[in-house]
Amino acid sequence: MVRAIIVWSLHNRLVVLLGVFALIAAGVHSALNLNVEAYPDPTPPLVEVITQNPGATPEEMERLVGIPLETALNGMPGLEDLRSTSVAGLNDIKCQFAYGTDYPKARQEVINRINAVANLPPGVVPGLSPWSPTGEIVRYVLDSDNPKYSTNDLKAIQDWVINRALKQVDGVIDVTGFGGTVKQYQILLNIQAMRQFGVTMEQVEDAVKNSNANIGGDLLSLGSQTHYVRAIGLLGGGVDPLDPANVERAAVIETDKLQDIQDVVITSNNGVPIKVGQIAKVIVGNRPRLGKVGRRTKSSIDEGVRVVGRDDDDVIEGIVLMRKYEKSVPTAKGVEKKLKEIQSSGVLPKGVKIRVFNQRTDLVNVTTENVIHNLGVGMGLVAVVLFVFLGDLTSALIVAVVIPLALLFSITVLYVQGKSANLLSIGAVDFGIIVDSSVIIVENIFRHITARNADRSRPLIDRIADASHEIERALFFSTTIIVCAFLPLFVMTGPEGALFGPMANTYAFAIFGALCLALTLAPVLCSFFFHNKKEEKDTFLDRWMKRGYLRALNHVLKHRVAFLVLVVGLLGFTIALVPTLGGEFMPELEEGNLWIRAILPRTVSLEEAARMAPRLREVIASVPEVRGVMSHVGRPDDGTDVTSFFNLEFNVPLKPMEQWRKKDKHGKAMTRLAIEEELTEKFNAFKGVNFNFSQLIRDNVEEALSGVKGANSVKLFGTDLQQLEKTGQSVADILRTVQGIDNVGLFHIVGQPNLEIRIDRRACARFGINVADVEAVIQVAIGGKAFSQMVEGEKLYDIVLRLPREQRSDPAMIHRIAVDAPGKDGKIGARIPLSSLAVISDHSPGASYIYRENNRRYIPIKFSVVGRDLKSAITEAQKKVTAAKVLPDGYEIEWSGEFKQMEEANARLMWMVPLSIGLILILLYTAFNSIKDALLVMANVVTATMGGVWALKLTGTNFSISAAVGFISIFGVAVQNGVLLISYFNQMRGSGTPVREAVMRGAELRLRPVVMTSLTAILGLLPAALANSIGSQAQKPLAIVVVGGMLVALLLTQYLMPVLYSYFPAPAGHGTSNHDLSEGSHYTDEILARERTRSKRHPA
Amino acid sequence: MKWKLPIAAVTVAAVVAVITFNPWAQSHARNVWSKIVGAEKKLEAAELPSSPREVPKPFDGVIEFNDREYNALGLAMVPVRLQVEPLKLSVSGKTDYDPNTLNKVRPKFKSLIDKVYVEYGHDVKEGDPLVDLFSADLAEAKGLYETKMSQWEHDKIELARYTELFKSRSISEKELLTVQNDEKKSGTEAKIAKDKLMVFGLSEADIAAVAKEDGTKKAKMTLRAPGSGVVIGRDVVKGNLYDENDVLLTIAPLDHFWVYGYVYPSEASRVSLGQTWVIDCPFVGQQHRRPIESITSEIDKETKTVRIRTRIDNVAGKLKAEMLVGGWIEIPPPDKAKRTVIPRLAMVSADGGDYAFVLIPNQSADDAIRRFERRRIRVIYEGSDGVYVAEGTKPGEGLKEGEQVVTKGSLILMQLYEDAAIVEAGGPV
Repeated sequence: MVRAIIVWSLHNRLVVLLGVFALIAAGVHSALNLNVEAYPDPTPPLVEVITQNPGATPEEMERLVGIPLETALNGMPGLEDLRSTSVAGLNDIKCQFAYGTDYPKARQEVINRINAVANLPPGVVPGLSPWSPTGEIVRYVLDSDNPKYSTNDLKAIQDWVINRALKQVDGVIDVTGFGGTVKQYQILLNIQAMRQFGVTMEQVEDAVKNSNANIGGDLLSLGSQTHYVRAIGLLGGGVDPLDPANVERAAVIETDKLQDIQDVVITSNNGVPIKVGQIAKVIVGNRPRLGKVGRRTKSSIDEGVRVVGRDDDDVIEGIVLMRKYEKSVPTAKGVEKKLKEIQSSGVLPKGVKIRVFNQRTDLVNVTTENVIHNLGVGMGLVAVVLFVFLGDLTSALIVAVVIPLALLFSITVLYVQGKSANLLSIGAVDFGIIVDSSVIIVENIFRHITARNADRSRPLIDRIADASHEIERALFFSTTIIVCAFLPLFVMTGPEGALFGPMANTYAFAIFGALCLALTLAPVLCSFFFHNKKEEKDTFLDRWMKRGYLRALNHVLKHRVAFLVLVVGLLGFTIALVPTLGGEFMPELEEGNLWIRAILPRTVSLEEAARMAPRLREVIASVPEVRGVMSHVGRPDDGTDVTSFFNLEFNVPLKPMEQWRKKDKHGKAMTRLAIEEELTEKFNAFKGVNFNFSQLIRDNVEEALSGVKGANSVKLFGTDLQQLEKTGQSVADILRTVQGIDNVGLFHIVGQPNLEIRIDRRACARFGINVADVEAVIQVAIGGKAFSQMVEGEKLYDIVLRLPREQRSDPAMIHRIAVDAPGKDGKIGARIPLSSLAVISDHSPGASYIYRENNRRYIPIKFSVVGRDLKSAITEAQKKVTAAKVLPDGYEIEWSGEFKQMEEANARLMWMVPLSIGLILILLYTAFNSIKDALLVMANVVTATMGGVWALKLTGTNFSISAAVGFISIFGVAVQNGVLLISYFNQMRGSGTPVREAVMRGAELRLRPVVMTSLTAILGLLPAALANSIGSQAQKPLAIVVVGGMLVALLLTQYLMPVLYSYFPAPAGHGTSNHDLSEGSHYTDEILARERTRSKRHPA
Repeated sequence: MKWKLPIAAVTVAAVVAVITFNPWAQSHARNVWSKIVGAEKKLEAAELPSSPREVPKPFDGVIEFNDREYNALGLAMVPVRLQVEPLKLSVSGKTDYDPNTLNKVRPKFKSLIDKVYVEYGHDVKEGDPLVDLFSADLAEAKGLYETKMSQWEHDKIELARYTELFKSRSISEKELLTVQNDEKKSGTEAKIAKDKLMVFGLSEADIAAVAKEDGTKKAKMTLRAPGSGVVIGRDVVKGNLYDENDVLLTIAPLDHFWVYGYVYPSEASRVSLGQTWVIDCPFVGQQHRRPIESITSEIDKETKTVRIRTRIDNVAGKLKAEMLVGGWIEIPPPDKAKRTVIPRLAMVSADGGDYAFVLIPNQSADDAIRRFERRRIRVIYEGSDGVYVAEGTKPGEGLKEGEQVVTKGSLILMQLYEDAAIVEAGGPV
């Protein structure tokens, strides 16, 4: 079939060329329109349910919200994990589905189930979170040059103007606002005045509510026209003070609105109206804050303009979230365009500016640049190798041209499939491996065409076809074997499947494309450009290499046993090395930023936490590589981050690597780890604050995969919160004693002081007061109660009833909050202090967080592994925890995070790799019809593996999934080289050549293609193996394994194969020596001749 | 065979050389060796807490900070104060007229209003005319008074004439006694008629003038201000008929007011006569300090509170009756107890206990380390302005005047303390 394709191509050269032009056109179009992701999303389909119930404690959120929702969500098709977190006022449930579950269906299933839950507290409505682990594409800050805009105003602009505009962008699911304050119109009740006028809270509420509506009065025909009748009763007339047209009068408009509320008549006493203003003070305030954002920037030059650095302690941040599985580049570009549009369209009040802090396209651009750079260098090196070895520029260019065409083919297929390319899928592709088929074909054609004894009278096309025929079988099988070697990658599931699946696809498409081109384009181009090829002598390098190699091979063949002993010794050494290799799930992907988390005491207040933020911003910004710092205290208002004030997070974009200091304090090249070390040193001064380093995307991914903020975690399952806390502390203490385990942090779940008001029913009954009345007073007096909304254009703000701060700010005042008892004739009776109606505990201990997974409570303990490999560190920790016997009965422990993923991935590889090797063996058996030959070829896999292991060890790289993929990649090439050699040996033997001669001739003739394919594979990924730039970390272990494995395989295989074959040769054929087969093996002739001469001289 | 051994030896030598001269190879060779021969030992060792890490020293309850750490966290301290100022008990109340000086002007007979001289809010002085009354009853009383007086005058003349006649023995004693009896009777009746007029509110002069009155004048009378003050009630309209049950005008002196305060029963035991009551009049921007003059002996049925009272001067006349007032009662600290005061930031609550962190004075001036210990405190009162702490009854409890307590960052000290204590005790403390 291969021959038929080649012959057809050679006879339809125009069609082939047109096909190539079509491929170029399609490829260029696809490349220009293909979406590129910085990193693939390794998380499974995840649907998150958020339920807010302001004021509720974690226990209430768990009992009243979390458990009913969990019960309803259990048993969804494809559901793997159900994790819930309850904090004050917020419950978050993450439904993690199996990889491959249809995301829209899963989402719909969740919606259906939560809608069916009927027993939630009144007014509590669960909703789906827009958040996804890799969904964050742009972060911006809203700045104002005009000091008259308050944080209320800027937040309103964010929530009502920018948010809406950005949601119109295709792919954007939501925009989360963080920081700033949400405006409220607050009616601060004067209880004494209310008492004096005999007014109740309900009356105030009803009066304001009823005075705040526009009503339609149907139609009225006046003359020949129809008029609509409208009654305008909205407080403030619905005028928006932030409308650019009104903004100059904003203060006046707001004052008018306050006056409107004050003028609302509540009731009348003997015809005297009692207005809100008489019993309350009306102010513009804000909702209780859930978070605060600060920003520190450094002086820089932006588009030629010097921007002065600044530190702002209270800014408004917008986080643009992309829908899961959307394409980030078009979405980010759409957002960028929309932001410019918003800025220039005049919808923002004068002086308000949107400043982008970080955006995904920056990362995509940097990683794409780096990947393209590595690819370019790799391709260049491959072309140089081809030229050097063939000594013929035309041949080198024919092979080199296949590289971009194979890439275009792959890109076209991806584009047609609607998939995205990413750093791994493109960056980890070894074009040296891909062009192997072309190298083999072109090299063989070139050798035959330029052979000394070539029959130049025959048509070139026929000679090319014959030359191709010689290696067609080997080529077909070796290419199939390479694809087979990738089988484990195709069937990978879980995070590693999500990460490397696209790479496997790209690889497979590229190999397929390259094979097609090798069978069609390469012979055609050869037919065009090899017309005038005369006999060409070997290049100097070729001569030197072959001569040296054959001498060495001859020597080795003479000392076969010693060589095998050496190989076995090295194999033993390698086996001994394997356990010492560190293990990790994935090398850390470099994102060009730091995400630093500082954990303060759990019960810290917003004010105290916010006090620390500027200090830490200053410390972080003191590192020269830091471009700016953004601090986040607490959580955004929409509940998309389940945390509280204790959690300080710092978004720290780094400067481009070329602007970094050249060396760290140890004199080594500056790396992100060195920056982290420097910061850790500075953070040591912040005793009692627990710090954790991550990166923006990585942090989100880790949290999504394990449910815990941190790279690795231990989950201790149990029922009693106090016991969980106690045992969790013990486990954390044990972890701290393990070398390499750092940043151990127990997520405290108890210890939150509560001001607990236990209503005394008997006391209430004594005064004729309902429990609900007391609760209503508590709600209004302390928390504030939103009961109506102020309409301002399209914006809506809560109108709330509340007590003035001085009447609710400390326990003593709360004890004295008065509840009205019913009086005679429906009037208000006595005022009873809360302390007489309830038992108030000012600082009662309670839960701060309640974590649940699959319907069980747990406490998480996070940690990271530094300076040691993940596997050994965790293995030691597991042993120590087991030995300590700290777990009470009924309590279980689970190791989660990267380690768990690594274990799962290893478990999958444990059966996938043998399966792949088995398939290769079957193919080899099919190719050779000999299990012996198949096993001989597999020996190559062993040498390549040895090389990979050595390379990992020498570079201090841990074994990871990326390295595993590297091993899988070289298996194919190693087998391919083995196949080329053995098949040639067999052909020689088939023609009756003696074993030694067959081995020598085969080795000589196959040396150049084998060295070329190996070197192209090595050099194709050498830039990636040496790179330290952003985006290089993921494929670095892969590249190191390929480079090391191929190098060792190249050096060992060339000797091992002949030696092994000499022990197990194919039976000699009866044919005469095939001159064509041995064409070009003159160095063997020389050696054999010398040997013969020597043996004649010394017959003994 | 002769070359196999040397090659094997060279191979082994190469491996040994690599291991000997390469530290990386050495360490891994050790690992490999230990895996082969020391697996059991390693397992045992792993089961023991044989950490390569530094073993923390036993926790002595002291948290230490050097200057760098102290400044990085922005910790701050303040000295503990002795409670000298009183504790403030918040009280609300209202102003009221002093009932001892309140004048209510009523007609003393059924009458029509002929004229009203004053309006609501007018200042009046004692004796100023307030209302002219027109009353048939008054006229009748005046007429009766005149009749009786006239009869009495006549009877007095008759008695004088009969007395002369009796002296001249012209009449019998019996006749004289009859005339004397009539004169006494008419005198009494005249006095009664006069008393009635006086009861109606007429003065001696008014009564003296009755004789000169004629016609409708007899039915008129002017009500005058019984005391100086402001007309705070005017329930009178010209032409209307009122009787003695109706209050026509109320006049109150506004030089001072009474203030009533409402104390919850749960707090009443802390309040006593003479304590200073700071009265805040938010509507007029005044503040008064007055002693408590009265405390009711019963719980008010309507307000369910204990009422306290004092009196305040009406400075500049701005106060009104029924005006809401706020303020607090200053409850002085007990004489013997040494209560201390710390800022609210200095107090940390955990697991139901309240704590503060106190600086331990350094033994040496060269010692740059700041050491803090945790003290349990018993809170008497917790407000946003401060925490009042009871004197400690046992070691490690309570605070002393002058000791330095941590304010900013106290929660971080608590976290450090708990972490250290947990490491020591192996569980939450």
